[in-house]
Amino acid sequence: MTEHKEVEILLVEDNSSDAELTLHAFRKSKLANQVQLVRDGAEALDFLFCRGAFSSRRFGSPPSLVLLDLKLPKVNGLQVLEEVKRDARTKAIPIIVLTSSKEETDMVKSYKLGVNSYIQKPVNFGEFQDVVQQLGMYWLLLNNKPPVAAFLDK
Amino acid sequence: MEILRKVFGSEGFMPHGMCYLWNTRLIYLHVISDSLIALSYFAIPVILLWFVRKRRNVPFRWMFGLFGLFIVACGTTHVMEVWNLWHGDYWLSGIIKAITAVVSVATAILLVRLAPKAIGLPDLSDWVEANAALEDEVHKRRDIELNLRTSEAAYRAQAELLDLTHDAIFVRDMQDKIIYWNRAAERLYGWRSAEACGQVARELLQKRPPVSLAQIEAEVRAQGSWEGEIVHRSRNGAEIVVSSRWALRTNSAGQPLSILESNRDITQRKDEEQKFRNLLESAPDAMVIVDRDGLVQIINAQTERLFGYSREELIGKPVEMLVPQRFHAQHAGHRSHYADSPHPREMGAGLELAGRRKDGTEFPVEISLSPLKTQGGTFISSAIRNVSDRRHAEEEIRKLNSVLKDRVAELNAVNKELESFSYSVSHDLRAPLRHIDGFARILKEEHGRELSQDGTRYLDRVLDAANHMGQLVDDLLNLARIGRREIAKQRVRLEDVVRQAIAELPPEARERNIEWLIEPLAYAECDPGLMKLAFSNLLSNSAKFTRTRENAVIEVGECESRGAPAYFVRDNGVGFDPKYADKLFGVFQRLHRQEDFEGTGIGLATVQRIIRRHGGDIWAEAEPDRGATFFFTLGTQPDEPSPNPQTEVVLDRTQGS
Repeated sequence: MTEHKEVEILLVEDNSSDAELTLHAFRKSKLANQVQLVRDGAEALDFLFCRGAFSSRRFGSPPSLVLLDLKLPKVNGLQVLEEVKRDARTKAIPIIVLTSSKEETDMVKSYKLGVNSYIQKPVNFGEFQDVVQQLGMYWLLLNNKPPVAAFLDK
Repeated sequence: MEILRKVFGSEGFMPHGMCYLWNTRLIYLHVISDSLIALSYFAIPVILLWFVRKRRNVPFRWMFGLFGLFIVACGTTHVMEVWNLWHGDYWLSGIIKAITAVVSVATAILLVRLAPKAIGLPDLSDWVEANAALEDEVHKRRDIELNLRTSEAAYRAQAELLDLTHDAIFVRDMQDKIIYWNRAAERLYGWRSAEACGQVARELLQKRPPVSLAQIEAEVRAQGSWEGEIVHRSRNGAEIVVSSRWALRTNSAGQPLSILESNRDITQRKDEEQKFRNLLESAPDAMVIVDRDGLVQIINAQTERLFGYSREELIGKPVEMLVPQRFHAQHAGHRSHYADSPHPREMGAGLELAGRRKDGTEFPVEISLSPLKTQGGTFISSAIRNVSDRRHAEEEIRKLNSVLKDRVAELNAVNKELESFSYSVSHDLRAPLRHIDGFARILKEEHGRELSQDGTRYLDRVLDAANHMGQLVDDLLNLARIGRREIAKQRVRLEDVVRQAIAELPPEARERNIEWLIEPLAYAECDPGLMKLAFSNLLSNSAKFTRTRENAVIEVGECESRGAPAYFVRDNGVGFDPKYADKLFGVFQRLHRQEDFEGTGIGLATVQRIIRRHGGDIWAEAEPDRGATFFFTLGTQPDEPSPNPQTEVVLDRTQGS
């Protein structure tokens, strides 16, 4: 887990089926190689804050995109979001909530914490595949990534 | 002539002086003495004559005349004695003597006969005495007359004064006959003085005294006066309450002569007193009026009822009788403090006050105090209310409140649970559906060629089921959300809401050939978001059930139900059998088969919930194959009378939520 592979997408997903389906969709969109999967909120924070198993990572090369589930073991999605957006070194990382829920309270909290996008996973897998493809297209190709200076502790 | 000459002539008789021998001294003695006697005798009748003339009422006047004549005769005889000294006319003197004798005898005889009568005549001293007494009497009479005249004037003046007083005054004798009646009495009772005088007072005035008249009369006779209130009746029959004062008049021997009654009309005061008492009695509270010393003066019937004491037991007693023993000392203190600066206020603000009944039991009270200023000084009026019932009610309310609080807490807990449940549903129930759908789709797409035709068909069924369940979960979550959401009403043009809802219908509905007839709808107070959801559900329903129609017509309009505005959505679709109308709005209730018209059976339940949360009602009319119309109202609208829709199809309110 310590390879210096460039991670484009961090997928935070505890459910293996969801993870597999999401990776499948990424594969279909030819994006799977650059996806890093973590299985709970704590692991996600370790990755983003370059600590624990991910201590060899550097803040200067963050993922282009984080796909965050809200219902997670240990540390839930909203807490992860809060910590990332509170810290100047991680604040600029685009975070997209990708979740089963469309609860208004979740949406309100997420946007208030500074989420960049909020997407409900459609039940229909075909639709889901479309969503994933569009996500990849937009955030990885169309969108200009934040410059390195955006991740400095200033 | 000869005879005359003989009588008056001396015929030769010698003068009498001869007998005296002409003794000069003797002659003088006789001349002087006889002259003096004659003069005196002549003087006496003159005086008698003068006396008789002056005193005309002297008895036996003729006797005086006779006496005069007799004395004159005697005088004349003495004159003749002087004459005869020088002339010897003794015939003449004899005749004169004879005349004198006749007169003398007559006088003597008459005098004898008169003497017994003259004895009865008072003598002079008697006369003087009688005269004095007479004069005395005359003076006395004159004084009395004078006195009488002045006292009559005084009496008249006093009577006039009595006429000036405002009190009705009359005097009646001991037989109760009216003998005086003043102006005020005329005014008060209506009878003129002339009409009243002579009447029997008790009959005229039909007196109604506080005690028997005989008793009062007795008191007046014994003590000389009486005071009290009596009811009189005036000439026109009206009852007059008077404050009456009686005074007995007696003569110097103490014998009763008459009774003077002075009556003041206090009917109005009595009237006002009665009004005050009525007011007191009609008060819902127990009213207790005490004087400065805390002695009970007046109470009402409510006080008797509330405390169990009778009026007689309380009047004049300290008000502390009505206060529990343990408060007596402080109550007396507070009372005198209040009496120093009385003003209307509640007693013992913020304290629990208690009253004490005659039987010793206590009860909670509320008391308001106010000063009562009268000519007799300031009294303190207290209105006492038994608040036992209210206290019980308050206690009851407290209990209910605490029960309610518990219920609310329970309900909140249940709500929390429900929320976390729906949160779970939204997360956890959907996840497996997505997995089923996802893997089935991957299986179909990537391994479809390895499956038989049936295998592919079964896989399609799996996918359909998963999608349907996804829809169910979504709809249920929507329904739950409407129940929890706060309603944010505002003034909205419903037509705009309808057009927006149409624009957001699923593409298949918008792309179909549907004739939309949208009436201009008025403004209404509603939650625009929820109202759009309601219209969306109704319109997509109509779109769905007109799918089989070549010329689908969907109409939205306004009508009236029980005087309140109602709205309707009408279509010419397949309709439904009205006997199932009560099932329309229940969750998961469907009147069509899934194969014919897909659906979750949650849409109309959602609409009903939205309408109900607005305080309105929803109902439907339909016939199989003849289309359906959904009506709804929106509850109380500003400026509108409160609608109470009772409609053709009455929906069971317990259904569907």
